[in-house]
Amino acid sequence: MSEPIRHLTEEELAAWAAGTLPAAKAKELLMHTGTCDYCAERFAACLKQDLMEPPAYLREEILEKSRSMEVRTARTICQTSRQIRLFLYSLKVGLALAVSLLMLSAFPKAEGMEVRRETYFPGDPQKSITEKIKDGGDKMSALLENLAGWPTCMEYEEEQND
Amino acid sequence: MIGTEEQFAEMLAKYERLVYTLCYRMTGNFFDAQDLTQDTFLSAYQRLSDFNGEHEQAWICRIAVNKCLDYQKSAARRIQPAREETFSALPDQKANPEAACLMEESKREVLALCRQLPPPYNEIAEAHFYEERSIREIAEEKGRNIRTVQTQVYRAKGLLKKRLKGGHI
Repeated sequence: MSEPIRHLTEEELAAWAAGTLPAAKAKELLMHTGTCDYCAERFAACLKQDLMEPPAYLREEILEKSRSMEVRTARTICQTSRQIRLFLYSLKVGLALAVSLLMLSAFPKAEGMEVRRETYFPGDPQKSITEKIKDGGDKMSALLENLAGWPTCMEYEEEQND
Repeated sequence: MIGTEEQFAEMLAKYERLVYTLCYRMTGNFFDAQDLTQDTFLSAYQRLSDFNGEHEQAWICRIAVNKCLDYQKSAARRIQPAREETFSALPDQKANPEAACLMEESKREVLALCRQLPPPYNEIAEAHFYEERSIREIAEEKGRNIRTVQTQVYRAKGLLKKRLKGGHI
């Protein structure tokens, strides 16, 4: 069973902002923030209490860089790969649908065929599925107990023989 | 309908300070904070078509945090394999007025470092990194080609980073 998600506490955020959170905890905090929208929003709010002014030229430089051929190409590749993923997914769904239709048309009698219950659920037909599963589970536990006890039995027999 | 370029420009104007603050507090380095801010926004720009439009601030913040984590991991690998203090933040400037003084002090030292560079990088570095003038402005003022100034700024930044990491500041 997976562990429930633990979001950041106000104390942890305040300690990080004050620079007093231990390194290992700070790493955990950042790793969680990098994946959780809820905590990222709170982390941003915590940072916003004391914002720094970036150099005046930085915005222009970023905008200029975003217009460069290199970044535009990377963006196009990103978009194309997304379209390709979508296309492949649609192709798979379409193919599955086509195969299903083909099977229905190739084996029209399959619709009228009765499934033989006993093939899938052997044993007493009066028993419910839950009871059958329970019986199977009991048999499996008994088998495992036997297997677990087997080395002890062997030792006991060897002692008796000696 | 708003175009991608406009959407990106708006996003940049809205979150530039937030991202820069995060990057600076994670790196403690003027130049690396600028590089990481740039990386964050360019990454956001590339993934803008994937973004569903919800929780924009959280989305940009997550990109920035992951960029900083990658930076810290590679910096830790370069310097000391087990150095984990890098994940702690620099102290809050409001909470610690000394940090604000340190910031001022570090800016003065950036100026000192810029002046130590050989020409023509010294004057370019001072105009760009200390006086915060854009490449275009410097090119116009000095009557130089914008590409030339861009290259000189790039090289000056490399030299300054080396000196910073070498413990000059």
